[in-house]
Amino acid sequence: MQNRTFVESFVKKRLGLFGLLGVLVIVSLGLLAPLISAYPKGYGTEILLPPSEKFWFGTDGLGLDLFAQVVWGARTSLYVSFVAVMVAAVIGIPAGLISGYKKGLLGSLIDGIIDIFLTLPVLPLMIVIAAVVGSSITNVAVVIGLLAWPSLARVTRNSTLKVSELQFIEAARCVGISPRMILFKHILLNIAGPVLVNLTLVMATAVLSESGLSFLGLGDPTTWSWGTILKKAWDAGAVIDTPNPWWWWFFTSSFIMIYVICFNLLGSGINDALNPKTRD
Amino acid sequence: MRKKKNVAFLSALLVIVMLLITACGSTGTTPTTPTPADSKPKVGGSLVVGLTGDPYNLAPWVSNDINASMMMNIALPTLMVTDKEGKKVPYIMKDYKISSDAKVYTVTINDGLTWHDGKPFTTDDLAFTAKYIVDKKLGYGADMYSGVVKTEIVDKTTIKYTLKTPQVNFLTQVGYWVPIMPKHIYENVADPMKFQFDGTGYGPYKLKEYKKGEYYTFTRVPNWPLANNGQGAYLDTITYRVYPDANALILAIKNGEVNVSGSAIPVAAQKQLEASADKFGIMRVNSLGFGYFGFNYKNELLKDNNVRKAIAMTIDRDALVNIAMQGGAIKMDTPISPVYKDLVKSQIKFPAFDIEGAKKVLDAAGYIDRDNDGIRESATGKKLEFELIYKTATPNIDAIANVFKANAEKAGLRINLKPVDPATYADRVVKQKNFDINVIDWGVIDDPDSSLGTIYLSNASLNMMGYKNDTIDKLILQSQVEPDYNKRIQLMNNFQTEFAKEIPTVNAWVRVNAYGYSKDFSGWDLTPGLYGLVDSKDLVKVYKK
Repeated sequence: MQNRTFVESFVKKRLGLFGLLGVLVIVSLGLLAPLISAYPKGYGTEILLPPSEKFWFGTDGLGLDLFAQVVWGARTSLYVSFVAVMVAAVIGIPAGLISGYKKGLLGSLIDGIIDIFLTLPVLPLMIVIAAVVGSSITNVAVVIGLLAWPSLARVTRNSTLKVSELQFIEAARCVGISPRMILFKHILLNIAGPVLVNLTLVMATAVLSESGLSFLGLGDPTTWSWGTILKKAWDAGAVIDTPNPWWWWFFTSSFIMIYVICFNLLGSGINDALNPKTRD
Repeated sequence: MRKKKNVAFLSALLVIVMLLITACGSTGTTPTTPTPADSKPKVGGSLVVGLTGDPYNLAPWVSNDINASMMMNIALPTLMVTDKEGKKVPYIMKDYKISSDAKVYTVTINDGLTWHDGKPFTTDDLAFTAKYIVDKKLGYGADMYSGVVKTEIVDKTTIKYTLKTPQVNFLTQVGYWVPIMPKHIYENVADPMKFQFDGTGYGPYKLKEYKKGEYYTFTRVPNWPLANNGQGAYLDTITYRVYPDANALILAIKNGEVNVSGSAIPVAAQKQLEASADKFGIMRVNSLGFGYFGFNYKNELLKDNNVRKAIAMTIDRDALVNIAMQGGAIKMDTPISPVYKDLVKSQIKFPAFDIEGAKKVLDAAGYIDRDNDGIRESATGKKLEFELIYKTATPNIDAIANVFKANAEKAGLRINLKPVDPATYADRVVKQKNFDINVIDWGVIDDPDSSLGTIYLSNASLNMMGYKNDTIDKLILQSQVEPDYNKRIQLMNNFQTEFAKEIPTVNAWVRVNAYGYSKDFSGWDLTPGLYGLVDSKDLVKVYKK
């Protein structure tokens, strides 16, 4: 019953559905990249061609197909997002649950740590860590995840605080259910909405962060990611060139924007559908 | 709620549209204005030079800072400059003689020069520089003057340097790289690193005022003897302005805030200025350096001459210069840069680009793809898989590496790209020599007939390849002490024959340095070298139209 109401309510909110469609398109692009186009490598003679039937998004300064780059870039972006979300979830969710449920010293200590991490300037720190650990796409994804967990932990903690005061939790405690069971079954299930929404936001910001780091030259230049494509365009002067090969930076930037917007819309769609107040 | 969402969606759309408008705005062209007709050179006018970094200080001897030496070059010009072919010719120096054993240099300087504070500029200053710079260990100048055992002042314009060992490039090195120090200022300075030098020079311009990090203004020295038949330079003042990067500098040139770029500008920026050809000009000159792919002899597979030869045959120089470097370079298929015409007249070349040929060389040497994975293996089963390491900061280097990788893989080699930051590169390649293949773009390798030893001698610190060849060593050392230029050419031909056979590095391109200038000024000239259009000897000829 609950599920059907969620689906119905989600479908009713068109923006959430729009977000989901966008996400599905990008996920399929990423997953099916090898079937859609060949991995762009080497160089060709058809340099800086504008979009055409043969090259939908045109070609870059090395004569490589930009559509193929964007498709393979989607794969990298999804990978980065997924790894970052996993890292953030593995640290952030238990930290938030424990600090919200345990009210003693442990709770305050974890809460303090979350606060400290939330005050850290994320981008400069990310740049420093990425520079130290080296430029591999997995390193970049882990770094992003390591700096994304505090906001997830904070959301989890706040929701846990609310739910743990409810009577059914008290009842569970009375009948002797173990705290671990209470935390991960009864509480986590009931706070899934806000946590899920936050996870979609981490997905979106992970791509932005990866693009930013790659653009600054801290990404992995040997892998196609949207940030790498933009960096190559910037390095080759495509942004200031006259006449301007706008297709080199336009499609990739658009995909980054669409990706972020779709994940945000999906997140807020899920939130609205799960929240009884906004369900109708 | 729905209303709220619609607002959010519309805002997102608005942001996209605004971003697009902003991005498109940057591609607009500058409105054109009529330029005044060419006129005869005359004294007057002010020129603004744009630098992409603040000069470290006013004393070029104490730092290895290109902005400092570029700017101070008009106050402290060097004894020698380069001519159109990159050869060193006298400038502040009038004439020189080298003894037959290349150990005694007799140098005559031009008469009539004075320091900007009125003191005469004499050979005393030259002798002082040679000693002081070594005593105080001042940068590369100390290395260049280190061979001098005695200086002898013959008269106020003639000096004799005696060297410990024969060294044919002594004068072209110190004469081109190290300006003369004012004895009357520095003789009482115990610690030159802490001393605040006021910029007193002997050149066509003297420093008037400056604000560190912002601008440096120089005024004309009237009747400076070596410019325009003793008339002195034309421009009244020259101001060097500091910009954070090349993009900001190009914008300033387009706005008319800056009249000429100090350092070379990237290809995209060149196109931007060329789009307003009525207002701006671009002058290009080949770099004195070159780019190469180097092989580490510590790698057993790369030690095999057949593997190096095959890799050399996979290098498509046309693609490197036209595609990867966007036309901002020329091909180099001789071991010595084609900029030095006399040295490459012999036309001794590396093996030409021929992937099929490379395959045959590898087949014949027993490198065959036995497991059909696209990569060849040696007889002992070692795969021809190499790491190509390079500095990410070098312009176009990613594209260069990708072109190299694509062709090498066609011949059955696997290349793994390893882009690193300059510090890691210095540590792994220069210090530890822990790499397979490296690709580098050398900025300046001047006097190749005597200076190639810094890269290729067995014991040279920059011989990252760990290449050892007695014949090469002998030829380089002979050339370093051979005063006769024609004999040096012959020695360098022998060097190139051996080099093209051995292939410790595949030299592939020479970057073309381009400089942008305003057409409100005329008289621009350019030779290969360090300072582009703002080389003292050329800048004195520039005048306002």
